[in-house]
Amino acid sequence: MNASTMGRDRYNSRSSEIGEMLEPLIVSERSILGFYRAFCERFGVDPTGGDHEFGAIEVWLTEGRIRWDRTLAALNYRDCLALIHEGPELLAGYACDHYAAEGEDQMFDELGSLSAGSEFKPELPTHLIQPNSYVTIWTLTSPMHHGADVKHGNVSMFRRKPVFDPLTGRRDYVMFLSGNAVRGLWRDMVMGRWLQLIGLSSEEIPTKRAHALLSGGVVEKGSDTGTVNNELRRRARRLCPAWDLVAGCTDQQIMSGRGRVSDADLVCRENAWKLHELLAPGEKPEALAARLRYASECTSLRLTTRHKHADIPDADGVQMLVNTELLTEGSQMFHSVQLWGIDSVNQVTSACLADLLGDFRDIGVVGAGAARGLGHVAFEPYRPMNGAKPLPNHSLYLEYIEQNKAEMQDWAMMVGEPAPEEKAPLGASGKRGKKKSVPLEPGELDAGGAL
Amino acid sequence: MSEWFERNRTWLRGALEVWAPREPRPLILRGWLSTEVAYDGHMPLTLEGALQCAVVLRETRQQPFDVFVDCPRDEPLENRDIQIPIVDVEAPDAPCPLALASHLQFSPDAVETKRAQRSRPRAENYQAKCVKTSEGQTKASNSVVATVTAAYVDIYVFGDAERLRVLLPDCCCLGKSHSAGIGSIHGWEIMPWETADAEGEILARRTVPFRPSHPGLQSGDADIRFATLRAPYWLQATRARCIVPVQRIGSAAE
Repeated sequence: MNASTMGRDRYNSRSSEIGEMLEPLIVSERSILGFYRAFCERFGVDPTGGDHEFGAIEVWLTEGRIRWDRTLAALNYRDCLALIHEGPELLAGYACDHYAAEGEDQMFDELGSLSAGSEFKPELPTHLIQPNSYVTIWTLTSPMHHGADVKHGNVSMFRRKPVFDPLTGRRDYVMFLSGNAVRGLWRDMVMGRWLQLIGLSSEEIPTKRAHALLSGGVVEKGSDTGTVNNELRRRARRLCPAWDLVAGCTDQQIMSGRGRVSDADLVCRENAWKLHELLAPGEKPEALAARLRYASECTSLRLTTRHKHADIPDADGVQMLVNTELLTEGSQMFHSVQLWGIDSVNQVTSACLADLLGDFRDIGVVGAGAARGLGHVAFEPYRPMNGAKPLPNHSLYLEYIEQNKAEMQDWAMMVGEPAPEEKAPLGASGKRGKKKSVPLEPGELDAGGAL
Repeated sequence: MSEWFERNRTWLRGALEVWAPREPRPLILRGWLSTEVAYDGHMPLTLEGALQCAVVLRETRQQPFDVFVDCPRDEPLENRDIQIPIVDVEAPDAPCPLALASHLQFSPDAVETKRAQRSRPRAENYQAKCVKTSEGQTKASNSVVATVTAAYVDIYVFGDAERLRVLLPDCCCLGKSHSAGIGSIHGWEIMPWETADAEGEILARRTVPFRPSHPGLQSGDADIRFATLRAPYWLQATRARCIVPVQRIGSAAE
């Protein structure tokens, strides 16, 4: 690696580029030697060492010098994956520094304990009391993407979470789709359908209500959230079963929904201990684990190009290459949803969930990149598990809406509720003063009150 | 007697009959975690609140928040207390009885982690001509929650196994942000606990009123601070100067 082959600017910022690229490079390969090759390729280094006067690339250890490819061959791929996930900047800094930094050894000791795993292997439960829930297994019929918490250069990684595997005592980073993301998707679907069924669209109702329904709303600054208005709360739950399911904050009332949407967990070796009763009842978890792939074997990188279109006059775009880490087609994910207080939930709310799950199955898309064909899933209908009662037929929900449509429309349109502009303006202290008439410019506030 | 109590006394008295512990024994309740649990390292996690919620759901068929929203702040404890199948003890200087239930004890493999929670407005679907997503009420957010990843949590209790077995399936999650998947429970185990001094051991693992001779103070395993002593723990009525055990993440629960 030198400035003449890489360019001066890139050479000077090589440590940050290495830090950004280590994780994408290792997840794009299936072995540690593959990672070595990809790394050399990225930075224009000849892995045989032929372009260097000192021969093949070497690593300096306290015990002496050793060829890098031989060092890597002795390392475990999953250990390296975990190490790189934990501290890519530390490793990149180490690679680019000529001298040891203070405290570096202690930091490397911490990383070492991570890769070693723990000796803690608890005895697995045999008779679990499991929460009442509705479960299914998604099978990916196209690759899927769900954005990670951090970005790595031009690579969008799949989101991961630390998972402890009691079968091995190891902790690994495993891909998942967050319950929050699924809940957001379901909120869009269930609210969109409810609005459609009552004959309105989100653009027709006041913005505040639309924001509450579609995004969960907001606790308004200066509002009196200490006042609980039971009438409002019960009306909202009664007139909008979809609201009872996912809830949020509306009319300064913070409300919790009935639904508890779990993360979608990858069906992989690391998760076998908690999936074996569903996937292979009667079989030992170790046996199931042996049949499943490691999580690290379930992803691939896909290159996407954004063309510059230089043929268009005055085109200001630039050519971009973007990599996206995807869960491969055919992978499976376990997903569950709970209705809080299953046998005490309003039947209409349960029927609303049944309607939503049917709708979700018909649409069958989750995660990001749906517009480019990602995230298609197929699955059997969610089924009750661990004593959960079967969901009522969704026709109960549809009939209920038909019977209460006019009242529902009024609630959606906030009929009879004070418009935001009718409230007294807030003073500097956040307290409401005397209402003053403030002249508005024509069109300053639209009909629903701009936010 | 408040209007709220008048309205709710029937089911509260019924719950007292149904959920009081009949044959209490020392037990370990082990919750196998499906995901990480939200835990900031300061406020201890407990199970009693989740059990109380399960009782309210079963008895009233309503969300606990909806049942208790108009409960007066000065309502006496005996009027608003929710019975759970765990034994209470009276402690000197405590403003209320203490439930014989420890804080959540993480398994030895536990590590501190974090989870991002994103929220964005569906601006294009709104009636407003212009929606700002970078500020104000429709600001998109990406907040990070401090969490702990562990195989399981243990709670040491002196309670009624049969009644707990009925309620635990309704305790599907622990900690905050649970409606979005954090703190999901994979399943519960109820295990017998062989101990000669269940009360002493449980009280050493939970918040208790301050006393200078508490062994945790000498060993540095406890903090002195104001805390609440009975579920619901957010309610300030049971606040007192307390000794709160320090939860060391990654250390074995003995």
